[in-house]
Amino acid sequence: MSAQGAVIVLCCLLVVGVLVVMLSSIAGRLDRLHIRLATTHASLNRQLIDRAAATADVAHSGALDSACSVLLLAAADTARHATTQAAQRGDVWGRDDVESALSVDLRAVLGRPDAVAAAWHSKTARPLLVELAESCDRVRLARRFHDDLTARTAAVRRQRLVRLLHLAGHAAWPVVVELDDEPPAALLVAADHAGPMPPAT
Amino acid sequence: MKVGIVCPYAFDVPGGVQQHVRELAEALQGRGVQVSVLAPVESATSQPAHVVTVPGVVPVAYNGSVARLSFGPSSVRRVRRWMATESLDVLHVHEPAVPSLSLLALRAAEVPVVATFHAAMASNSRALAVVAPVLRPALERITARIAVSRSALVTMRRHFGGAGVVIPNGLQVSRFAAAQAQPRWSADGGSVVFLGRMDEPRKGLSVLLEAWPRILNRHPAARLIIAGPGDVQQVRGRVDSAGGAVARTVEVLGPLAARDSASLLATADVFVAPHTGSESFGMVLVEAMAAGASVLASDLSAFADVLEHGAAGRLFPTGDPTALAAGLDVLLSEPAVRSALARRAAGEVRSYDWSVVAGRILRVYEAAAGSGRVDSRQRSLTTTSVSRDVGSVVVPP
Repeated sequence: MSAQGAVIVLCCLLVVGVLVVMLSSIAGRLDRLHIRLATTHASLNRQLIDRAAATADVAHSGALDSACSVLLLAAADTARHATTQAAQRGDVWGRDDVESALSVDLRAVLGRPDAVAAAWHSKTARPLLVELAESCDRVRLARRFHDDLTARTAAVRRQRLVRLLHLAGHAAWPVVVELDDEPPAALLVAADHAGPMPPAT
Repeated sequence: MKVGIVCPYAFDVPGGVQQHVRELAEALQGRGVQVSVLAPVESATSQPAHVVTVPGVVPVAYNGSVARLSFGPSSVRRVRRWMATESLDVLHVHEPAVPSLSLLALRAAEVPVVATFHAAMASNSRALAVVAPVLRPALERITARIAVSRSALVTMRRHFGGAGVVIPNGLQVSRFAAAQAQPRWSADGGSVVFLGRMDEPRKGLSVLLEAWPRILNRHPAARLIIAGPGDVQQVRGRVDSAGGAVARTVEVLGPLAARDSASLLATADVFVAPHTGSESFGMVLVEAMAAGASVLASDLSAFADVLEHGAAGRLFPTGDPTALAAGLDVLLSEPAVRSALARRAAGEVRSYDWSVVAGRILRVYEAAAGSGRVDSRQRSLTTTSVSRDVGSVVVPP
């Protein structure tokens, strides 16, 4: 009788042990996902700030006509201003429209080969144009990686066990970033074929 | 920035992934990026200083072919030690779904991970379907996924889900563009070249050999040169048994050194890629295009992508010798068509040059790690000046 009781107790302990290991591994997995989500979010933020600055540099370089320069400078400034305001509000995001508008303006100014070729004439502007192209590409990549990770994290968090046992803790529900990040095509092609540039000074 | 690149296959055995890793590391170093490569080796061969080797590869059957991989407790220890000593900013693993060093590195990674998926596999790969759930938690650690072609991306998505970017394999275009044509391989009636494993059925040599007698009817002075790894005697036997005219016009060279194969491609009037199996990328097509040959290839999706759906090289229905013969007839008869294709191809291959490809991969590292090229302090200074200067736009003269 006591032997039977011991077996039952042992079995129960085993089941509890397996459950604990399983749940803690899911919690650990979720924790890692959230850490990386924060990293990709920070990266996207950084790339957007970089892009606004690189846009302003190109606008100042004298390689574009004055209308294009004014347009880009205004768009870059709006994006930068929105970033500052969002940071002051303690808001992580909330500037998608402004960043999308910058993408639209960049495509309007530097999306066509003839426009890029004209700007390319200026030797001093060339490294700045390459830097701008690369920062546009990095924005697109960073957003893709962020949204991909968001989807994967959300999939884990939707699992019934995770929801029921509150395994994600107080982490905010992951949200994808919706914005137009399509880079100016002609600028990207020109920069790619220019090869590595010396760092902009 | 310091990048650690992990290769899953024996580094001292020839292979596409190994070559990619080797050339990527060099191209990144040329851009001032610090690189450390971790790779298994079969024997104690000398490797460049930035390559850390893991001895003791095991030849195993995995996913339909024999691969030389590295795994087990001592490999795990070596991966851990490498990561602890290198203080990386980004880890770049290749083929993380292959049970070797890449997968081990992935499990131990603390820094942002970039992964490149090379292989394109059939949709009904049962082995992959079985291991996918086991791999998923490890693959979840990847921040940025790169596929070398659309086919590789489709394979990745089907088995592991998630999004990725396509960045093709790189190539040193100048090496092929500078290769000299060899008179000993040229022919008045046109020189046609096959380059690839001669004895692997999916490389499609038999499709080309079946079409060849038809070509000879129309172009008796044409010549077919077959090169690549495999049993020369056995291929020669197949050619000779096809009769006198075929035997006279077909030459079997067998394996060639890298420089010779570039010369052979530079000599070719037409390069034929009759592959029948699932190819992921088609590096050899890009090499032929860079060397200036006009290309005729089977219409596998990877090949169609590289050839711009027929604009940079002609396509024929996969495995169809009649269609191959018809396409080859056109190319041999019309030098104008050949030169138009070669011109277009020379423009297309520029985007496969390492100078472009390494830059694109570097931007993936930067996007994954949250860094940019320009020093962040300098950047933030520029940023604060944006709003002040909005009124004073520099007007070009």
